[in-house]
Amino acid sequence: MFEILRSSPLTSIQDQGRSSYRHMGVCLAGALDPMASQQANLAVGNAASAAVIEVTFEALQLHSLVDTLIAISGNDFSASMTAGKDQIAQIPVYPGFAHLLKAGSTLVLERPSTAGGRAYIAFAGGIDVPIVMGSRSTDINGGFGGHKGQSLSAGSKLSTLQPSTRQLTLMESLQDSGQHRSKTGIRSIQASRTLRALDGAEAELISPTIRQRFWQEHWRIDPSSNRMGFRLKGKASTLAPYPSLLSSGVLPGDVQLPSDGQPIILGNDAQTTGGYARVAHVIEADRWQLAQLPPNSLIRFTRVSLEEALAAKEQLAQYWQRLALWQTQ
Amino acid sequence: MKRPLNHPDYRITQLSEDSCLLRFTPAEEQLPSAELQQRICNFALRLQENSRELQLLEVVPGVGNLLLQFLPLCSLDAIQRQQGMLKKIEGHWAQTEDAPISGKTIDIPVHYGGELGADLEALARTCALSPDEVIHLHTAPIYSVYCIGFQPGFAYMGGLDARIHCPRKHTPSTKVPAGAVAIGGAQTGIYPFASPGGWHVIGHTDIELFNPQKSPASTLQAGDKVRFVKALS
Repeated sequence: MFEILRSSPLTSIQDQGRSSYRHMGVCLAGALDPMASQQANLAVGNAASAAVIEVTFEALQLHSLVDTLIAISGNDFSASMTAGKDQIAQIPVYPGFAHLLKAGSTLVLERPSTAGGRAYIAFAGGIDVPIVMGSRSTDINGGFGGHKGQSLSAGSKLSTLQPSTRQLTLMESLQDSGQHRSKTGIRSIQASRTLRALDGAEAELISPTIRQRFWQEHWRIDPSSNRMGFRLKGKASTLAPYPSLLSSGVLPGDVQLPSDGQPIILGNDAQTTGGYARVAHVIEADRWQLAQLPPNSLIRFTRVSLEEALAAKEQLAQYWQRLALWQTQ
Repeated sequence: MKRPLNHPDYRITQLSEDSCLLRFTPAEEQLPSAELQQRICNFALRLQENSRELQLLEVVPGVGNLLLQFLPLCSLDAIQRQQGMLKKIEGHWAQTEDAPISGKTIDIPVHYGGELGADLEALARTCALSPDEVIHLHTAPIYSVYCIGFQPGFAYMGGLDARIHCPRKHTPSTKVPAGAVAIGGAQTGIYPFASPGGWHVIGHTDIELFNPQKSPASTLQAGDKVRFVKALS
């Protein structure tokens, strides 16, 4: 059991997201950076599907009432913790390592090293909130899932599921040896500013000139971007009279081109249907990076084939297999 | 590489690593016929019932189209798997008819006008009608739910009388209340959640449209029929 002492309105509980309800208008939700959330889970020995805290943009502080194992991944927030009740010394919490957070301790995520980037905190066993429509993720717009359908705020009380025997053994060994953290950790991956993308579903409805400009332009991530979508601004506005289209299902990663010519990359919380022409679709292996790029970053798109997209996904799957293997050794 | 062959009734566009869009009418066309849309909804329901066998994660009807997302797979097997499944899916389309499956018709009581239907009078003026005539025209037809989107449980409905079609607002309202019954262009719908919105709000309903604790969570499903009934207030 732990209590949030300080949070920001965009910090929430997420897991791998909510699937198979898009025909009811229910968005994916889930960790915006699944790489980092999975790394944090792996570092404490959780399943990849365990619910974590997605810390967005601002500081977070929590107080643990029990001994637990935590790991932080993603954006570095200069985290630290105290070593139990009435202790004031701050012990650094390194990204990617499992740490023993003792009962009565405070965990502080001070400030993001990269503005706009997100951090993920995993707890041994995973955060225990009810499964709603197959997921523990918070659907902020729908107001359900996660912690009472809302973002976390000071006073929110949360608990974790029962840690595994392995996790309890690691906690005990840290306890006995007086260590604060595991010997090995998982290195964070640097986000790239070039996103690989497939041709969009309505690319052929867009004039070749505008399409070409889309693939060449350096796009700036607008600060108004959020979990619903990343708004991009280009140097030259590419106003074009697109026909209004019949609504169809859309997916996270779709790059819509509204009539003002400023693309929007749909995020995990985007609505499930849309009527704008899609010029591209950011491949799954590259999408996580959007969660970590600071506002006003310049990004570019590289056009790839379906085969290349699947090969990139396969490569990622192999990375996880290697990590999981290392973890069980 | 081989791409899936198009079917005489629909065109297949790859959307992502594991999903594609079946288009029964060109994207930039006018609304599909009610019969075609009904058949797409019936098809969607049929695929959802067989989703395990067809390895489908999402089946999302749109207007004149259907999005299919397969269970995630790495490697090039995904392409072959999709081709094989699309072949089976083609068989399901052949066996889908355009008659309504369940015939579920839902009556929705609406409190027209007033504070929670603030755009009724303005819309009536735009359409050169009286508010009572707008209410009469809105309650007369049986609407078809074309698809759900925009918000959990938000139904896009077709069948609106052409006399009360009204282009969306230039500047969307910052807050449309939950339960708002509204008109946008040639469609009508109900907002299950408060949100910004560009449709004209002509009334409100008290019925629950989305409850994640219920199964199904959405009161309305693509393919359902809806009748608006003037609530006695």
